[in-house]
Amino acid sequence: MNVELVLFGAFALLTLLSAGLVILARSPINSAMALVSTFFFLAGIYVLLWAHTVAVVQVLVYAGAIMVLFLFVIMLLNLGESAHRGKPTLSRILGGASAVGLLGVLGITLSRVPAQPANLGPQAQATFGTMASIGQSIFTQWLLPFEAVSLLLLVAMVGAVVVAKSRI
Amino acid sequence: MITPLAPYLPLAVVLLLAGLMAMAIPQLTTRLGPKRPSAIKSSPFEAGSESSGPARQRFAVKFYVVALLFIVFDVEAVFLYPWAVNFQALGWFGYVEMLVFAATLIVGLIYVWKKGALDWES
Amino acid sequence: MSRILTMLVAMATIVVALAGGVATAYLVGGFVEAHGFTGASRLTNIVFLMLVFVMIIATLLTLAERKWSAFMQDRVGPNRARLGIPGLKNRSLGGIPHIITDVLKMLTKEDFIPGMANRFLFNLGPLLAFAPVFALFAVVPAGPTVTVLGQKVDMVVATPDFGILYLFAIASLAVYGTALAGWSSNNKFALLGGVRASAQMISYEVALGLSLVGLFLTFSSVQLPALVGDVANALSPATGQGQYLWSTQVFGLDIGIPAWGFIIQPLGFIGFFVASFAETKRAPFDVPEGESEIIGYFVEYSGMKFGMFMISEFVEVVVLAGVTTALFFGGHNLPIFGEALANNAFMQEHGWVYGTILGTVFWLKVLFLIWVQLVIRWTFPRFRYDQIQSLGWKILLPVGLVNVFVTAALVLWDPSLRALGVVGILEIAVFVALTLSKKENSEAGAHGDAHGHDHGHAAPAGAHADPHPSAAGAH
Repeated sequence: MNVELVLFGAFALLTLLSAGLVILARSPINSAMALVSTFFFLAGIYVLLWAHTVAVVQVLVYAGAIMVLFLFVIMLLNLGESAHRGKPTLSRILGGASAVGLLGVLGITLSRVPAQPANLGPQAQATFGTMASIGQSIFTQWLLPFEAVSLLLLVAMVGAVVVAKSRI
Repeated sequence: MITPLAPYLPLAVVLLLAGLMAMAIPQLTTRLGPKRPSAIKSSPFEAGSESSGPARQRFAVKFYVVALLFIVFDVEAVFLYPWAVNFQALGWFGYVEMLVFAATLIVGLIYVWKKGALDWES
Repeated sequence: MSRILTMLVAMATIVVALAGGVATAYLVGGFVEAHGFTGASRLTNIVFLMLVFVMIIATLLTLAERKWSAFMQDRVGPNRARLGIPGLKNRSLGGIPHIITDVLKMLTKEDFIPGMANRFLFNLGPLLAFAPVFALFAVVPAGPTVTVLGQKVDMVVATPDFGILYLFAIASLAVYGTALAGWSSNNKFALLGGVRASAQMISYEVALGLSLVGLFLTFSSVQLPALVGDVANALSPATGQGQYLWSTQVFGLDIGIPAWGFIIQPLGFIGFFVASFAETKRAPFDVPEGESEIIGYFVEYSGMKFGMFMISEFVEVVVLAGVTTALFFGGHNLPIFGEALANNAFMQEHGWVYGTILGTVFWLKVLFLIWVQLVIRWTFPRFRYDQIQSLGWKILLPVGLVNVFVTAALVLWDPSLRALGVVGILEIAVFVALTLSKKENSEAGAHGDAHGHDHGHAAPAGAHADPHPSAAGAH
């Protein structure tokens, strides 16, 4: 029995369970906590794929930073359970439609993935997904997207201040 | 069997152990302690004065701005780590690359600073 | 006179206990490697490092903090609890029985949940406060890699590729503990404390991450064992903080200035120490707890659930001291004579003796840094919340960014790190000068007779915890 397969099954099941809780939980704060655990178990799957750096960034940025913002918004706005439970509103219809669209895109992508797993030599296995190899490709091959990220972050920073400025 | 996953076994054990300990230790109090609930005891503790109004109130939008700035600089730091690991191989070229990246964010920081979003008292 | 004698006996006991613990850890590690499977010593390291060393030091710290605060405030401190053992009935034993009574008290209190609280989240709060903090120590190396019973044994639990980022990632999860505890209690004080705590923790996480980048790029690694490094021996040159910046031989012994983190990265050290001090939410950063007014996010917790918040604070203190030792004080390396010890024929033959000596050195450094944290905790008054936020965003963040690029330029200019060392020593000199000049001012001012009391402690505390004037002055 392959240990990695068992672990993958466990992490996948836990990820799906937590993701299910995100949409089924009645209180938004429970949803947010379920999303945190989804990200955590997803990081476990990344580790199994040898994507070490992506795994730790997943926890650091998504579970540790972005979800804190979610939690703040829920806590600070004091969101309770939704009064319009189950009623089709415009945002719900749009949200459902985009979820179906995303599912379609993912399906098409998955159908094009070759059935044979990629074969890495022992040398490539040792460095695959490490900090050093990720950095190597970001700072040589993907230089322009990397610099573009700084513009995106700048926009986010300015946007936050502009939106909040009317109140502080 | 040497795989890149081998170093993660103790890490997984540690995380599991941490979770189990954190769940088990408070259970001891639940089992050992008495249970004497009363209406006064279960009201919010406010140093003796009568509690008025709901406890969960809305908060200043400042906290939200702080959280958003935190995400931005956290992402910046995430890019700094692989850069630092490869730094000596990349040399001055890598130095300038990161300087351009950071300069853009420093412009943002100066903007945020000048707009007063970092001032707590206002 | 008898007081000095007692202190000497206590210190000797501590050193012997540490050495005994480290030696046991190495020997058991070698035994399970030889008779179990490869990597089994990592699992015994979990028991020795995390359950024995960290947890026992954290438990003793609950008493040490009360005793030390009593000493600083000219009190006796806890001394009333007695053990009912013949011969010990009339002895306070330095207050050690108080640890036992505290635990018994917490275990037998009512497990109380406030009426309007969200029960699930209320129970989740202490869990999320303790579990991440406990798991932090896994990547900290507490001793060198040595050969015991023919097997390579190291004193670290895990060495993942992302190294210290594990620490950042797991520490960032602790925010949920405080936020959920504050929110779920349905108490205004708790909510205020929880929101303050989480905003403070995320503000300082930024500075925390930035302050270490200079060190990472100096040694081109994010893995703690590589950052700690080893001294030069017959087989390999010195790595990491085991290197010397300048060294010479005196009577066959090596002395010099080692490339320790606080010498080559003083700004990084101060930034890291202040930021992680704020993460532990201890005075002067204790606004979220504010014992005298809002009590804090755990105001509604009782029994062992409160105990989880309390013990995780002390575990944080130990972990912070351990990480700071590994990053900035050379980990298990000796400042001088390291090479002479490593190349000694007896030490090379008996790896576990070598490991025990250096492992004890590591834990002694940790105890020293814990003591520094106690002194800071009981010396400085609480900062205002706006001061805390502006220290994080307006001082530590810009200084951290400048430090990254200055360090990077110096490393590229002079890969031997000596330029970095010169700049670092100059920075330390500026800090010391600024701290001393400030002290003279306050002596000349209104505090004419107050300075005598904290005379002995002012120098380390002022140099480490007061980046305000020094950091601003250096840039």
